[in-house]
Amino acid sequence: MTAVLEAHGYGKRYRGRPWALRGLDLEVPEGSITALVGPNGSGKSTLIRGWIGFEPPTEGRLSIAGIDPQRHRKTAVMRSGYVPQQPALYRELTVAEHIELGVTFRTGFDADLARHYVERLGIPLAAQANQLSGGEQAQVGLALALGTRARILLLDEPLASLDPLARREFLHVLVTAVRGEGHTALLSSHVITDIEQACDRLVVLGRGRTLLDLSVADALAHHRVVEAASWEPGQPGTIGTFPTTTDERLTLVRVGALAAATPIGRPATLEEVVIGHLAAGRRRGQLEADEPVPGFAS
Amino acid sequence: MVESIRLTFRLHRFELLILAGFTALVVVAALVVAGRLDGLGYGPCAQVMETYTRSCEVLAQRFYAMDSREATPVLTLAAMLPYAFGLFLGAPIVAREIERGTTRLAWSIAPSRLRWYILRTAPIVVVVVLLAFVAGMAADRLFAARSPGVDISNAFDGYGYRGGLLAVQALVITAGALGLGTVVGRLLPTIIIALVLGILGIDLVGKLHEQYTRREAIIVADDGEIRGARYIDQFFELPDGRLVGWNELAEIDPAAMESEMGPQYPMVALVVPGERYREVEAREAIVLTGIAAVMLIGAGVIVRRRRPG
Repeated sequence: MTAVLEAHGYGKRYRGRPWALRGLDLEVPEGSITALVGPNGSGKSTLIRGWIGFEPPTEGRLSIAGIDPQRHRKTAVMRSGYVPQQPALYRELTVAEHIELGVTFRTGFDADLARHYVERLGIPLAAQANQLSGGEQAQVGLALALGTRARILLLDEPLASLDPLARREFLHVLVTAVRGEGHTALLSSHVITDIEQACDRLVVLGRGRTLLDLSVADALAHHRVVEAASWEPGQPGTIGTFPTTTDERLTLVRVGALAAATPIGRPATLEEVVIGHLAAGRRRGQLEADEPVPGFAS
Repeated sequence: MVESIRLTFRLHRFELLILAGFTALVVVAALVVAGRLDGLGYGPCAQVMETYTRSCEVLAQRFYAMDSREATPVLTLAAMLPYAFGLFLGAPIVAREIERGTTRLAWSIAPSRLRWYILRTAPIVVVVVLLAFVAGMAADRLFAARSPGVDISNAFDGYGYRGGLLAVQALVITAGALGLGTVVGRLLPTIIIALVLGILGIDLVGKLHEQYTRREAIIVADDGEIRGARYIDQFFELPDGRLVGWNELAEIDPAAMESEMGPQYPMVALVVPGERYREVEAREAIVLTGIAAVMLIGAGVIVRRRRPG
């Protein structure tokens, strides 16, 4: 397995603010579609922007396809396609003109491919960008990123502004393109159900660090949920407890190969895996906050 | 390249249309007013005082009335053009993109931010300079009409408000607003700060240049006939040959100051002769162009290093 996106001891701190990320170690394997999940402020966007060379690290290092994106930003940009968190199209231009803009900006930009994806998503090429919905703008952003023919796609919460059907279409285009071309994609998102369908790997960030880094299949296979009331806190494998919408409290438990032989509770959904790890991350953060930690302002 | 220029113009089409229209208005108005001033036939009266007749007085009244009523407003508009270009075309080039977040898209597609910067900036800068130059030429024509008998290419009349200097001022304000926009990253604050700094900056350069030019000025008799020269200062010439100003004279000869007729010493003026207009204009243009170049290069460096917003 070759990692195309790597973070080693990566930390980012904006002036006058606590660390957005610290001591992060992460590897995204080539050819995977990896979901990057975490609460707001967990550093997902910071990490993605770091890989494309937009944010210099405060400590540690990042690499994209084996190169440092800060030192070799041109190469980093050449090797990646990026869809930003908020649609950032030129309101004065049509969709077709955005594709032409891509051609003028970048040698080798595949205008036909970008047009193909835009048409496939049912967006008129002649439409003015400011007349498109947020979802359509995100889809044009994806088409432009795919038009770069970059082997690594970095998608920063592109699904946030999309309705369910548009999300499905977006993911379909993404998965087809990535699987068809053998590309790698890193998709940050809050929408767990979509991730389950599209991604083969899951990374959960919380409180500035990695809480979980597994394949989706392993994440589902190695986690179960039990009713919190019937579970002794602190037992081996306990990850985190969280409420459900029916006032019930569930505990996420990691099960090893041996324990799996005597199943407990029920299999966890991917959403429960994510929520359980986020709850554990929050709990750990609260415990750390009780003790002064060097480098953090009290 | 052609496509890239077209798209840059598309991005600024609203500002370009407004400012091109404004420039066309100023140019046409300047030429029409110049024609109307010429048409009055006041020129021969203004050139040869000996032939100044009663009819000349009537013409003079009509000439100066038209000058203040029509020429002055047109020239005021022409003087505003460099600021309008700088603030409404220069400031948005990068600041608006950072503010709207389009730099995130552009800089993630464009491997070379410098290339992106040049493609976005060069067409606008060229248009600004061309439009301001045309306006400057029209202002030249109008100044020629309002100064009959003066060879405007060898005269300081309207210095800094006409000709190539107008284009260079537009260039430097555009470059300044552009550079400021790359730092501030927001359009409205950029426009406000650029307006203040532009006015102060142009004024400062003008004053510094005047100080420099003062060293090259010559003394001539101030007989009211120093047409076309750049007036720097005025002195009284004492019998011993010393040149003194009003304050100095008040100390040396208080009685002369209190005389009902005023001081009776001959007056002289410190001027730069009109023949040196082209040289002085070129020098100021070179200085301002150099400042503009530094600001454009600085903006390029910032674009390469900054976050996309």
